[in-house]
Parts: sequence; C-alpha cells; structure tokens
Amino acid sequence: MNDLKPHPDVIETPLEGELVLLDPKTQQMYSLNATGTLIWETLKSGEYARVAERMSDAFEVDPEQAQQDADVLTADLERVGLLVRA
Amino acid sequence: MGEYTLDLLGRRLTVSVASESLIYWLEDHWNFPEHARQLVSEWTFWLEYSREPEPVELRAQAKPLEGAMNALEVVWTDDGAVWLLEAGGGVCLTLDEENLKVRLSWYGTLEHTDALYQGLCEAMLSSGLVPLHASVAVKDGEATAFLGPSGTGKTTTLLRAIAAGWQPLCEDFGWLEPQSQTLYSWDRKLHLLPDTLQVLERLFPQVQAEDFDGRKHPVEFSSLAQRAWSSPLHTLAVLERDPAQVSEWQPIALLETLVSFYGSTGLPLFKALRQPFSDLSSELLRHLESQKLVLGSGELPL
Repeated sequence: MNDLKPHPDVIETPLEGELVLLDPKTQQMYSLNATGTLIWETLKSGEYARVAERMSDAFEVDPEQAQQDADVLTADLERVGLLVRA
Repeated sequence: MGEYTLDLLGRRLTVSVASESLIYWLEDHWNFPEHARQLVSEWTFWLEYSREPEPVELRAQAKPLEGAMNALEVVWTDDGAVWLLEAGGGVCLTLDEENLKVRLSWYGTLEHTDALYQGLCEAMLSSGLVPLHASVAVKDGEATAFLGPSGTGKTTTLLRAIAAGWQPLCEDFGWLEPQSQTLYSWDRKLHLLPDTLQVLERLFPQVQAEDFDGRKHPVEFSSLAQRAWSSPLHTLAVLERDPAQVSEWQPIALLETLVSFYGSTGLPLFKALRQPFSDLSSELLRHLESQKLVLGSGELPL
C-alpha cells in the first residue's frame, strides 16, 4: 500500500492546465501535466489505491499502464522530496 | 518619546515607544507621503522595542534566509512566530489574521535594522501587498516591470526605456496592490553601480550622479524624466541577457514567468500565507501580459 503524501511545505500554483509545485527549501519548481496533477490530487486525498481507475476513467488508458505511470511519477516526486512517507 | 504612527499604503504602523533615531530611520525608509490616502486598509502593524534578550536556543535553530540582501537568518517557532535574526539584532513577528494585525518585537540598534526592514516587508506582504523587486517604467499609462536576477540588466533597461520616452516608476522596488493591479514605487532615487553609471553618462550626458555612497551612485529620477509614483501594472517583462541574439521581445511560457515572478517577490515567511500567496500569484499571472525581453545586440525595442 502506498503511504506517500505531499510534503506539507510544498506550494502548489495552478497555471494554464498545469500544476506547478514549489519546494521552498530548495526553491526548485516542478510542473505536472494533467495526468500528473490527477495523480497528485489522488495522493492528497489519500486515495492512491484508486489512482489507476481514475486515470483510466479520465484519460482512457489501460489501468495496468496507468498504475505503472503513477508509480514512476510518485517515486520521482519522493526522490526530490515533494512526497514524504505518512 | 511617545507613540508614533505612520501610514504605509493605508496600513497603520504604530510604534509604541519611539526614539528619535528610530523615527528618523522610519521616515527615511518607510514614509512615502506621495502615496498618502491612495489606499485604505484595516490592517495595523504594531512595532515595539523589546528589552528582552532573544531566547538562547534560537540561534542554534536559525537557517539562512534565502534571497535576503544581507545576512539574515530565520527561525519558525512552534507558536507560529517568525524570528528574523542578524548579528546584533532581530525581530519577532506574530500574525493575527483574524484581527488583521502584525506585531513586530524588535531588538537591536539602528546599525542593526536589516531584520526590522525585512520584518516590515513581511507585515506589508501579510496585509495583501505583493513586494516586487524590479525596475518599472510606464508607457501610455501602463507599467511594465522588468524582472530578472541581480546583474541581468534591470537598471540599464530602465535607463534605456527612459531615454526612449518612458516614464520611470521605480528602479529597484515597489508594492503591487493585487486587486487593482496598481504598482506603487518604493524608491526615492535610482542607485547605480559603476558599470551602469557608464550607461547613464552615455544616454544622459547632462545628468550628474551624486557621489558614490560606498556601494552605488544615487541619481534623482527627476533629473532624467518626470517620474510616476504609481501606475496600473500591465506587463511582466522577463529579461534575458544574451549578446548572441538580437534585442527583441519574445513570447514566454507562463512557467518561466512564474519562476521569475517568485524570484522578484520572494515567498511569505509566514508559512500559512504561502499557499494563498501562490493562488494570488497564479491569478495575477492570468491577468498580466508576460513577455521576454532579450538584451542582445542592437537597440532595445522600447
């Protein structure tokens, strides 16, 4: 089970269909597209177990592929410190 | 001496027991009668001189304040207060959003006012104003803010804009009122580094800069053109110095503008204000024009 959640200090800025994440500690910014934003929102709401289903509904992708994509992104976001273990 | 009050763009600053020297400093750095009665706000700032020493454990927890012009450190305490520390002084900030108040408890001498200056900036930001480190010029009643890191060419671009007939508004710093998107200058003079002074001498040979003040050469705005003290902000111009390109305006991605905008505003120190500030920034960027201005070869297209 995924127990990742957004770091409490991360600042979100919605911008032209993207979501920009700013880590105040490093001053680094990361931009999420619509798919990444959906994954981020799913993590925020604590419903990551349903991320594949939601991506499949929203973007008509294969659920298995969707889960793989979500796992890759969350691993990247954890590596840069935007996600932390709950 | 007794209580002293000052209007800061409609915000009321009250100093509980002000010394003459503190009043002099406040008048010098914070009193802009040109902006009197332009804005109305319910926010109040309460500045008191603290006779208490700072808590001994603070310095050990302090972290460098990113983006500060001078060596400042910051500490966030569990009670929600923010401490700004410098060698020999500091200020403790507490925010009361419900009652629209910021309390600043300051200790130090007038040789140690960097933390106090930054603290007052934070109070202004807490009250809804956006600090903008930029040079700004006005053309046809609309202001353009030239943004970029130190050394990019903000002051040089301002001088070129003035030479092209634009009205100067500020050279380094102003406050943006987000609802009306009006920018208020917070500069009394231009302050030129020696290399920028050469640009001044070339563009305005009749203008004499004041004597070097140890860091920069002050120049009166009025010696260059009739200045504007406030103006609606229309465009964010992100400067890019690149001698390999021709000087020109270029389209820019909003993300790049956002990076530059945050670089010019900084983030609130009060963590509770950061997400609202980000939402506000997003809204502002939706309404303002943004472009890149390449500072390359040839005349600037101003």
